[in-house]
Amino acid sequence: MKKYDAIIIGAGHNGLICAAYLAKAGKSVLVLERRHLVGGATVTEEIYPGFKYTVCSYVVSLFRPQIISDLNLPSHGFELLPLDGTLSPMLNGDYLMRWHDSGDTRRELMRHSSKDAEAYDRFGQLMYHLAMTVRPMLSTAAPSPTSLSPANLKLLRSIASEFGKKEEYLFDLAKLMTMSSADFVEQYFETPVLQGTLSASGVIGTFMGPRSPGSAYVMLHHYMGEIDGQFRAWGFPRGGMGSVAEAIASSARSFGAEIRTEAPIDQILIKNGTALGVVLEGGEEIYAKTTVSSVDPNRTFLKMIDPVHLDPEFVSQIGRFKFRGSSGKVNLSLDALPEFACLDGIRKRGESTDPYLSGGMSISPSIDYVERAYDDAKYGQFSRRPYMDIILPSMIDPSMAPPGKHVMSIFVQYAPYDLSAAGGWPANSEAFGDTVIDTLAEYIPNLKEIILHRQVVTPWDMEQTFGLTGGNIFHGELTLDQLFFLRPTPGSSGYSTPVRGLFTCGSGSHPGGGVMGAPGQLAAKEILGGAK
Amino acid sequence: MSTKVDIAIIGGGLNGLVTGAYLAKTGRSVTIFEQSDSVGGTMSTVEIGPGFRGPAALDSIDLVHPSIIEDLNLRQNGLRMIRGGGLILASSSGRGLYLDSASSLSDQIASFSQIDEKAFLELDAFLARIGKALDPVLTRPLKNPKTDGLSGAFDLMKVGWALRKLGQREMPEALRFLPMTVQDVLDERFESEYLKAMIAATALKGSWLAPRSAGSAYGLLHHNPHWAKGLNRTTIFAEGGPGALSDAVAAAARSAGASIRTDARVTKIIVEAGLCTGLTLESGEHIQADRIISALDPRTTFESLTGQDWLDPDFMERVRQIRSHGSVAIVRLALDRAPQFTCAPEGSESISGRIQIGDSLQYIEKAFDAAKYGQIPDAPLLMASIPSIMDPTLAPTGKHVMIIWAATMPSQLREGNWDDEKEALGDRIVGILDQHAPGLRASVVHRQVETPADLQKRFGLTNGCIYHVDLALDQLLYMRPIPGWFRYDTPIERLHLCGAGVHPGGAGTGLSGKCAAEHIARL
Repeated sequence: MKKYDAIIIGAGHNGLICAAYLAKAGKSVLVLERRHLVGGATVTEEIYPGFKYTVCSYVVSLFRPQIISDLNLPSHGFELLPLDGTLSPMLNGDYLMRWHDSGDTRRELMRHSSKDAEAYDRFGQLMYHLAMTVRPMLSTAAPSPTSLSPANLKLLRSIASEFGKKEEYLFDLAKLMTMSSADFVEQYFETPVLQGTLSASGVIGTFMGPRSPGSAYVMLHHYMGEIDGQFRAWGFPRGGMGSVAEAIASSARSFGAEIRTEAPIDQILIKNGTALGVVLEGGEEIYAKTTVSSVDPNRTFLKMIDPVHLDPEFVSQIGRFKFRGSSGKVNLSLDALPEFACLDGIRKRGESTDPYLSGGMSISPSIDYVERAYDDAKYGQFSRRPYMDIILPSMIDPSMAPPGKHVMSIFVQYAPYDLSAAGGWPANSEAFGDTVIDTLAEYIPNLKEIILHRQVVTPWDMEQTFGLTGGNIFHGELTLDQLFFLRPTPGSSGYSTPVRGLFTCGSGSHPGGGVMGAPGQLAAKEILGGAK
Repeated sequence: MSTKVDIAIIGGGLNGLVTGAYLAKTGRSVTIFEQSDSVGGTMSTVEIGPGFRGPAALDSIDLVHPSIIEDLNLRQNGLRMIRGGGLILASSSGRGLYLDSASSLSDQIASFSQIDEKAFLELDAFLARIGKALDPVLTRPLKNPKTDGLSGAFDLMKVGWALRKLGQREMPEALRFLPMTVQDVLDERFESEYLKAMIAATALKGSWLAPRSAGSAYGLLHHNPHWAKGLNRTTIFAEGGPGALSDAVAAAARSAGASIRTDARVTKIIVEAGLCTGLTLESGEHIQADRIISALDPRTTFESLTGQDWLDPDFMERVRQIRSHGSVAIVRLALDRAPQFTCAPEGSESISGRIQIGDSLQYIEKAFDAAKYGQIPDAPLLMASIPSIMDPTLAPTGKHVMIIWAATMPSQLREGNWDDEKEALGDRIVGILDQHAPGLRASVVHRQVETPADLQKRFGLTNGCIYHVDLALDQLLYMRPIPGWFRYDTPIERLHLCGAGVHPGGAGTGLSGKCAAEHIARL
């Protein structure tokens, strides 16, 4: 029977990236995916004929350029289309548009506040430098403050020297790591819609409000992609998110990796504390020298491994790693272009609204609006008036919908995984969809008339369909107590685990979630380094 | 008219007095200027009505660092400490939790939950271990690892070593703990909602944080320090009210040669060519000083007293960015009889310690929700005590004084203003107490309500923030009060800070004042 060098559990983008790197290094690799298609939460699915949905993740913002070049992704069909700005509509008929071009943004901000227009550049500069300060942390494993091993000390020293170069920003970095995104943006800006939209990026995927300390880091986490040079790292992939996964899969195959879909794992095979491979649900056993899990730590350690193989202390650490899902998705097929009320003036002047609809759209008129949305979620309800981050994929890539028609991807927060309403999510998913549409219709009066089909993805669906524990899109929240050497636990933050031969490579490992690819890449590096 | 002093201290609150006393002991000539007619600031005793005296703001003296009591001979200078009694957590269900002081807290917790008893002991011991490991940074002036060379680096290494000694398991646990939410810390360990609410309230006391705010776990450490016996302690009052502590420090200062001038409000710090040279008092009197130490909060110091001519705009930007949220309103009551809480046994022991209204983490979180939007919560978190039970000097025989901290209040109301709402707030708070202690309302003979706006006026606290600078992770240690200015110095030469806004921060420990004195004494 064939024994692989490595088995990768899960064909999400991180699993595939890890597989591709290992295969590229000459290892025999098998990727096992539970669903019928690769991609995990990075998928395009034609749920309604002719309309392609980016079901879960919907933009690429943090993807490591290094991975794109190492894996030759462009030659495997990967192409990123730029998102040109963010529209934040307001209920009073006005809007705030931040363009890709800083001069255009400045002129637009002047309409709202000359002080903010002034501060925007300073803010951008600071965020740039802070992102550059943190960036080295994203390209290496997280050093542990407890270990005195030479490799770890070397890592600590290199991080310290990187930080040393950025000394003037260390205090700001420390503040950013610990402040709330609302407090942070209020230091710079006075326009409510600008404050709301900027601070909202600090709560995406996390069970926090903009006034929760710690949310400023998540804001930086989302800001980082924009920084990586060029618009290429911040955009929408042609063909939808699924094409990212398909390009990586194709690259992995070109290096010799095998990928099997509809191959759900029942258990990780462990003998004497060493992982030997996996058992599929049908009973088939597959052996490998190294087993790598890209699914989240909860599924990996608590569902796929018999607890007798793990230290109870470790099990309890994994058990308290927080997976509070906070978001949902609503995907729409539209018969025509949505008409935002705030763009009436532009339409009346006979100008095209296309440029305004080709980027992101954010329903975040103020900090209070987003914070109130969070307040509902704290007590187990979905937001009565949710924060939404929207794109129209068909405006960016017309192949996503039939001519003249459109698809709309609505990321919705908050949708707490633990819903207190009777019947839980299965009984309330449509009510959630209605709330989203009702709220959005206040900004887009023709919305209800043009909806052809609606797909509601709740945190419960994310767990059931995509295997995300608690519906958490980041495989565990991005809070300070769950980052760096604490992700997911102090003993397993370096991609190796307490089980010999078992590694993790998903978003539940440092440096965390988003379509970034770093965990998959760094895990591969660790595995290859260790095999030497 | 002009007078000359060596060191002038602005503000005779606890920290100003402590700094003054320590510096006077080193032989320097110190004059302390206090705006009101007596010293103490938030740590003072006030008249609540004829024959009734009670705490101005802080009610107990649990957290005062023992080194200060010893160094300044506070007992010989008149300080008498009285141990308070039980803990009452009144619940809207009418049941609540009562823990008396006759047996240990943990024994009583064991009577309703074995899990919680174990968790309580473990958390208490854990806090003590981290607190001791961090002691060199949490109770001492911070050194600057760059400019203090070896000794600066050595201090940090000591902390690193102490943390390492916690072990492979506990060191990461300690680092994980500090930025957590107090809710997560408690949910991971405890099952009783009442107990969680009681412990959370100690962490959140006076801060602008809710149970679900990251960093609130640090409050557990700050407000339950190991030297005060952590979570497992009883309340300590000063005989004669908290002002007796300040009076004892003032006496120590005077006996070391310091002079203290009350009714001496400073209106200006005179700065010439980047150097501070003196003060102007409200009376118009001019004081020349070689060195000036402000115990006032940094925003008041730099926005109102120094003028900004000699300050760099970037520094002033940092000053404006300091977050100081008042979150407490204070109600003082004179009562003609002792209240009886329905959830506690009869007798004075049951009401001689802490009383809390706010029986779950959700209750506290919801109260804070309203405050976030500048509204007064319908059901605020209340923390109260009746110091006259153990200290008969505060009220006529058989009568009592009660002080209530209404936490989770906004500094500014978004609609209306505090002056208009103040009496209604007093009514509401007395009404809430009356539900838990029937008859309390009828027993009130005098009442004083102080909103965050009043605390701002009375004590000169920016926004009524009792910690001067919010106790939040981004405003602690090397970032308190301003990133990089953690050493009690300021950009103005010979001007220093020593109030609760500087490291290690307020809560009635006196450590900010002591650390400032330690630093300044070396100059």
